[in-house]
Amino acid sequence: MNDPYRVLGIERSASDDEVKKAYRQMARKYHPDKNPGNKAAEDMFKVVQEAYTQIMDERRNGGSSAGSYSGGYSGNYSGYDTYRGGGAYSGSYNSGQQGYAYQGPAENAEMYQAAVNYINAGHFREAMNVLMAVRDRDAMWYYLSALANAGLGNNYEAQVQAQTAAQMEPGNAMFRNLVSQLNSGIFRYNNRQNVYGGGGMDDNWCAQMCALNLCLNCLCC
Amino acid sequence: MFGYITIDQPEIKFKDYYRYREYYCGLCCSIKKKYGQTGRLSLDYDMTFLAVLLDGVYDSETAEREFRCIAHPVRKKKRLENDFIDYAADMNLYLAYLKCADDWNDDRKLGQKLYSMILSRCIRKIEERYPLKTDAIKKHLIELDEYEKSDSDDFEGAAGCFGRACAEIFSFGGVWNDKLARMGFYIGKFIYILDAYDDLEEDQKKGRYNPLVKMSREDDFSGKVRTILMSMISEAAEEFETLPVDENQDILRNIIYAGVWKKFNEKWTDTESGVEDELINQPDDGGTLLS
Repeated sequence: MNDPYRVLGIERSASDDEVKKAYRQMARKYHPDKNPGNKAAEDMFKVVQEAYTQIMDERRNGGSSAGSYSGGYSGNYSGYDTYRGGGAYSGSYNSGQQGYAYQGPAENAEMYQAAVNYINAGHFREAMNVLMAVRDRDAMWYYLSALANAGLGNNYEAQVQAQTAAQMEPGNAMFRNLVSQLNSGIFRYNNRQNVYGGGGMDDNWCAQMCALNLCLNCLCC
Repeated sequence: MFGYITIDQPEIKFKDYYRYREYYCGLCCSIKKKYGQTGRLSLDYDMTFLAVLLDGVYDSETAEREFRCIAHPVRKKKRLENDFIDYAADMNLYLAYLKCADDWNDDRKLGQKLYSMILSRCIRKIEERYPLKTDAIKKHLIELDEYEKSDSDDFEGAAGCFGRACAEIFSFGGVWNDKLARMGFYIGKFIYILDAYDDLEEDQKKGRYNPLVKMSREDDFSGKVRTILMSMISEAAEEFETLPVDENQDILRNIIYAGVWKKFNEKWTDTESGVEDELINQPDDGGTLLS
């Protein structure tokens, strides 16, 4: 695997904006429209795009682009009408099940295993259906529902449910990790608001949220 | 659409404000050229944001033109022309038509009915140009209708339908289509929830559906709405920050981090100071053509 920074011709210390500029320069150079029929240019265009995506993913997920949560909304978009076609989003999903021994009631365990299988396969609607049939809703139920909802694009509900799971079982690192991951966007948004301006009129509320997010992040290191 | 995805004027630099206006004027003229003067009434800021975003993400041939505007005849103005502005203009008109038709169903305002009839002639052209996209948008809005008919308080489910319609609008295509679509999805959810929050009292007064009615009876309703909105816009911002935008960043960041909160902050302040209660007791003035 090529070093993505070398592909774009930049240093590891380059700012996000510098990475973006470098990508755009190379993308322009190798764009298929500018190099019609040139297979080498087309291949290079893909390499450049992958390098950019890899760098941005790594920077977002704290240095590693493998095994990180990247759920959220997925669907087919019609972009075909306007440009030369988009594609179906197929994010990768890691529900972090490996090595976790569920301690709860046996009848739940079976349902939960089914839900986990669905979640890992990206069938979030089916996972949700299985979970809705469960009566005895423990922390694990909230955790798995959070994952299913996150996959369905119900990001707020996912955050609330993950928080519930973590509150019901405070010692559980896996639950805390999910809370942290699901809230990482909000944390970064608040930070950027401080830089780019536009904080809410309720400074105290903002500060409380920031502090909460900071705490959650500190707990999961 | 709703005009929530707009700039925060006190915070924005002059040069960015004028640039933003060049896109806005560009959209207006594009609508007029393709769909006539009546189309211009539908112009809003949300699609201006889309044009600015697409122009930041992708390259295109952009022309700058000086012109005299009917609405502002004193000084010559500058506007931009490119494929993204034309696309945003098409989407603007299509959404205006759908909203009109929806408002007619809700309110039976004759002005809406007439306006939607005028627009319907232009709609056919748009549906022919983007058959898959317009079909998908309509499908998602029909799904949204089901939530409304069943008086559902699953506000996130309802918002998701609108989000998916918005994702279609944002998916212009190209190598970044997936990111643009995800951004559109979360912006759509943001708009839907904010609109529900904004219209809550009036919807209740008129017996119209509002997905936030149940939550409005809980403690710290505004605080909860703010948290929900924050969840949505922060996801959209995450997608934005990983897009290779190398132009218009300042305008886009002003909108995403500041401008989008304008309506919520106004509404929150009104609610807190008791102004809302006074407004409820005032008679309905029938509203304007597009309100």
